[in-house]
Amino acid sequence: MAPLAPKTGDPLFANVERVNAELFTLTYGAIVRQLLADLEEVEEVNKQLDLMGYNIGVRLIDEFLAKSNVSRCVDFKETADIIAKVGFKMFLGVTATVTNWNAEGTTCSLVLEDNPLVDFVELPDTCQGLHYCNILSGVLRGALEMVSMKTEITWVRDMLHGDDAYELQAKLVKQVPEEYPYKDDD
Amino acid sequence: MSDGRAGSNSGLTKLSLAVPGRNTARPLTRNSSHHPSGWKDPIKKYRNPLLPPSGSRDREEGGERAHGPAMQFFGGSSVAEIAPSPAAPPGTATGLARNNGNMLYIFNRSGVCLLYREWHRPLHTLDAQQDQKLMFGLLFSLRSFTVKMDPTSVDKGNLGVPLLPGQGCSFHSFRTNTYKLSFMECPSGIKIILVTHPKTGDMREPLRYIYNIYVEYVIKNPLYVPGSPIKCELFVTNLDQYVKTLV
Repeated sequence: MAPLAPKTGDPLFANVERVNAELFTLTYGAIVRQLLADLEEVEEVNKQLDLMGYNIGVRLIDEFLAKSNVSRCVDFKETADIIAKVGFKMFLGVTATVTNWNAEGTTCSLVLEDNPLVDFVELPDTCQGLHYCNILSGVLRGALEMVSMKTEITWVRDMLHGDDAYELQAKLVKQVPEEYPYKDDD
Repeated sequence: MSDGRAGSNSGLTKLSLAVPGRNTARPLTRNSSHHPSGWKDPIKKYRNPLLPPSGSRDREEGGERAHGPAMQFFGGSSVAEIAPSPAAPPGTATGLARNNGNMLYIFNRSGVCLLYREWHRPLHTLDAQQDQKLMFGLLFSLRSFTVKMDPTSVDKGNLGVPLLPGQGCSFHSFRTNTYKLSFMECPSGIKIILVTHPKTGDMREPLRYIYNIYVEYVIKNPLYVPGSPIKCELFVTNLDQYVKTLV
């Protein structure tokens, strides 16, 4: 029998290879710094980070599925729970909490108390519109798209802008079932 | 036998003497109707004329049938010559020494065949692309059908409604008298299909392991474009090594 999917990410976090947190934080900081120097527009940098995150997410999902052995989630609620408890723990080492469900169960908020990407970071006045962790929203979007869910992920609260926590809003736009790709007459 | 050869081949002669059974095996395996014990093989009458004359007559596991003389001269080395098997040395794995297919397919969710690996395939009927399309179509329909026929599931859509990968029950293998096909589908749409000899056990864990190898060498490879056929050498090497241990 295949092992049951874990409900928390702790055993997985212990099993995956880990990298030094400071190396990770400083590398990410260097990326953002370089993007700002190259693109200069804060909006452009946000978009670029989202795109990078999307490309990461598209690959990350397979690694997540392979290591965590979760089966398909029945609905978006379960998906959000798995992301918060298992996914974030496995890749970032922190757990998120899921709150603010809307009535239909298609929108929720993922709240991160601490975020390893932003250690040692302060935003200067010139970059106040920058979503520093925008790569995370791209990662979630890319990963969910590969499991047939089209979503929109936006930042609601950001500690670098003075709020008390990081809050991502995840909205499920639609579920895209797989279609038979070959035409019948082919 | 070896004395009849010319003097210039003396090196070869010595070599052929050193491989026991090779000279004795050859005349017998080429002649399909000859059995030393005079035992009539009933299957032979219905032999598929498309198959190349191969040394292995019986398709079942050797130990079960009292077929002593045949087992001696079907040593395995001549069979492996006929089937070009890129990675496997002849006769090491029992599964390869017979007329059993051993192939692997990996598809992504849009039907693109990311990898087709063949270690042993006695019969090719279609060209590669048709074959892959056929395999994908077969599994797509089979999965749809198995989900709809699930007696324990409460909610069943109509047949023909497209399914999400991983939704509903998962079908994992089918077996015929000549091969076993094991299948694994991940929620991200990656499908891994392994065709082996019919006595293979449950392949779910090996298929998961292959999925892990795929993640390690293909997904984490920055030069690989997701959705395109896999050309990563490391992945193929590791895969070959692993499958050799399975068969």
